[in-house]
Amino acid sequence: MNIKPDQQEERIERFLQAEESETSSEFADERLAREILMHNEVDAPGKNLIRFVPLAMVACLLLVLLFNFENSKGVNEGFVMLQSVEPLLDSDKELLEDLMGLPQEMNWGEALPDESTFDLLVMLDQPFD
Amino acid sequence: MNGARVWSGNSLDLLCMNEAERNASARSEKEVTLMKRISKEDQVAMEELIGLWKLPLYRFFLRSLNHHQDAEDLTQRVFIRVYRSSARYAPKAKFSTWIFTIARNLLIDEIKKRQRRPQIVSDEHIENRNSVDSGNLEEWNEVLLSRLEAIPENQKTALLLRVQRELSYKEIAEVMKTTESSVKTWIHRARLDLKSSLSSTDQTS
Repeated sequence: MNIKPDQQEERIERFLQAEESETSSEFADERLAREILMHNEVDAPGKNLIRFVPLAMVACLLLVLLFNFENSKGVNEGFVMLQSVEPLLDSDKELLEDLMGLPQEMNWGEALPDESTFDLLVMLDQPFD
Repeated sequence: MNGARVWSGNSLDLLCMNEAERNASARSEKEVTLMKRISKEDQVAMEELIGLWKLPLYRFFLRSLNHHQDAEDLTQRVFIRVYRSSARYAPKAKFSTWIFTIARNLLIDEIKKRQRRPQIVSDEHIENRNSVDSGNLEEWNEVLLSRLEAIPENQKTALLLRVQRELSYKEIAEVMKTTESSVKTWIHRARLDLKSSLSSTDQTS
């Protein structure tokens, strides 16, 4: 080969530049440009964000629904609480007063006397004819 | 005159520039305009850009991979990426730095693919070898070709960007996301490697 040292640099440069290398005839500018434009799309700025818009809307809707559900649950609980502190009827109050007025030994446990029991007690209290 | 000055559009700057700088600035401005037109799907603009950059990219890939078909495929893929990102393109750096960053990323992907799949010597490779043997290429070209294949990708890319595109060390560092000192070291090593291959071949012959 007999390359002189001072020629080495120049030969390496020329080799690396590859200026003799050309693309094939099918690789024409016009054809390439047409194919690229035909089969591809420009990624517009914010295009990816647009894809997430429906997802974001669904998420917002779910949040709103969840919020409303939580609120309505609170209202129901409040309603139940209101019901439980509703004032007693007069008849219930009288019955309670009677029961409180009974002596301890006459307190028959948990069983509250109903109307027929009272009738029976009244009958027993009256003398036999 | 600072060769790395970026075109500012100022008329005073224009007066102070030498001819090479004016040409570079005009070209840079032209590429920005082309990119705007390409983003609007202007086929003529795409053709113009391809005309400007097809051969530089092809030669870069050809020397990197030593495969004509792969070099053309990768060149096409660079233009596809350029087209897709044309609407988002902002001239922060020189156009050459941007386009060769894309090229280098694709090259690395291709090298990784080649490493994953078993090495098959293609017909094209065999044709090249035969043509070398038959004297179509000069002997030193063949030696450099085989030596270049063995050089690591980072050294090879840095050397090719320096020699083919005459990019500055700073620009090469930007493309390769490394430091200027690393670039200088890689280029120096690659040159030494190629020189030694020529020297050793010379001694054996």
